[in-house]
Amino acid sequence: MRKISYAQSIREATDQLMERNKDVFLIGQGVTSPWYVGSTCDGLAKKFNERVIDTPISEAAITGAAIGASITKLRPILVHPRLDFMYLAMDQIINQAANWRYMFGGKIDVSLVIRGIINRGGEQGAQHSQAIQAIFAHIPGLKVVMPATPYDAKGLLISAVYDGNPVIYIDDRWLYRLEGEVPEEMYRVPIGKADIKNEGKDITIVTVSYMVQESLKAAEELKENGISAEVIDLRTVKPLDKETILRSVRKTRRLVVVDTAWKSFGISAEISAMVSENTFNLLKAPIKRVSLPDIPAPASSALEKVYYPNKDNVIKTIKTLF
Amino acid sequence: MHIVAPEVGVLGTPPIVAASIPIAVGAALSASLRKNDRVSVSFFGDGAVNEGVFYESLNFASLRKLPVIFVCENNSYATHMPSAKILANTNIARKADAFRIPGITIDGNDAITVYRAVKEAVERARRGKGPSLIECKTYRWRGHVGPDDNIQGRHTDIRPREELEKWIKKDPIKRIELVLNIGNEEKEEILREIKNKINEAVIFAENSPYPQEEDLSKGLFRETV
Repeated sequence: MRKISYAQSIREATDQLMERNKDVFLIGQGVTSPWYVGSTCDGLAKKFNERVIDTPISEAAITGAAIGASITKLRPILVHPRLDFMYLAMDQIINQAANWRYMFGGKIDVSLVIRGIINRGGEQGAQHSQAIQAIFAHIPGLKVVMPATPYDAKGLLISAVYDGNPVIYIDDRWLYRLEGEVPEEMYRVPIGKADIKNEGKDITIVTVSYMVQESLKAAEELKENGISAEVIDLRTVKPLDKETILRSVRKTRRLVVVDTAWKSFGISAEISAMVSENTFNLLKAPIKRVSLPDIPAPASSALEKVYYPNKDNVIKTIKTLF
Repeated sequence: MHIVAPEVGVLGTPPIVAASIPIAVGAALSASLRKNDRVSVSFFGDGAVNEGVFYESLNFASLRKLPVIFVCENNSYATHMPSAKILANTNIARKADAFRIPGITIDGNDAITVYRAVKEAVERARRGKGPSLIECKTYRWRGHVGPDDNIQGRHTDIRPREELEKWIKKDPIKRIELVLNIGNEEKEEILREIKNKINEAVIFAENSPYPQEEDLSKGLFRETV
């Protein structure tokens, strides 16, 4: 099958969605500039004209406008080119988008995709590096997806646009150049379904987004140590695919959760809690977590090297369990 | 708050101050993208113009010439604070100048004046000329919330009684009665109709069952097809 990059896959999904459905439009700061969105929106403004809207730096108003368009039955794809700036739109995302349908008796759909881009490293520092999926996942009324491969990037974006609810779609610029097999036609990757990216029997690694790639490398190296690791790519953070995780843990009886964000009160904490609630006295070893330390992103490249975990951290952590 | 009636175009009324302003702009964006002649109207109070999103919304709406009308119901108080204590410039209509939007201040208790101003703004919006800001001067007869009337010397201790009495004399319903030139009989008929509607609604509410436990998650998500 044809191979394209993760960024091209997002671009293609957006292009096909807009081509197929006149109600889909693209709005956000920098959607006409590779500076902001890499190559994920290349050529779209030229092709779709007024349906691609580059905006002022007004996160709250633009997010509100996207909500307003969605409740009047368009299907916006709203882009926030850096998650850090989404804090300025939190009233709109959390109070409004997440609650609108519930608060108004299920009479109005908020059919909205909010694409947030994680852009970190390169000495960008604490306010240009954040991965805040746990904040969104905490909120009832939001769905959160984080593709880790070109295939899932396309399929999840298509599912998100047709979901009919507010979906936070988080992609990571560290994945943009990753190549993989992607069908040319439109297809959906179901929201709420994790994917076993590598089968194994000795330990389960539950991971997401960029850390899926690091975990796959770790699983490969662990083979040499006689450890067979099963890698579960969440793909959807919320709703969490508990069944797939539990089925795997019941088989391997060991669990490491690998996240791209901070350790405390986040995804790794939630999954650890969920697994211990359901598999108490079945585990052969304590649940371990690989994540960012509870510290803001440093600006120094020397510190970035120790701040962001990679395959070696995953391997080291797993070895302590055998 | 919490009122919704999509069948007549009421898309929602959230209680976070100013939150619905950009959402109304988004409804106007829909009209603009679809090239139909719908116009969106955003209602908010004088307190809402101190929220940053109000200015972001005016800028974006003007920039894209969106068919939206910003209607500020200026009743001189934001909860317990009089306008002069919260606004460096109490002339709200003039805030439109910064965004090249026409802004006017009108007597919000005169229905005919309100009608004319809004009609002009709607026509302007439909001609593709963009948004308008209409500041309607009015007053709240009741307190901000609950049964308290906010009169000075009483529990919430906010406003002088004379101020309220002065505004009661400007009752917009009494004023429209004078303009409409209808006989007593017709007037009684209208009032009776309204009273019946309200009574029916109250009876409906009182007779409706409370939701059941299984309704707790109802409406949270749309079923995906």
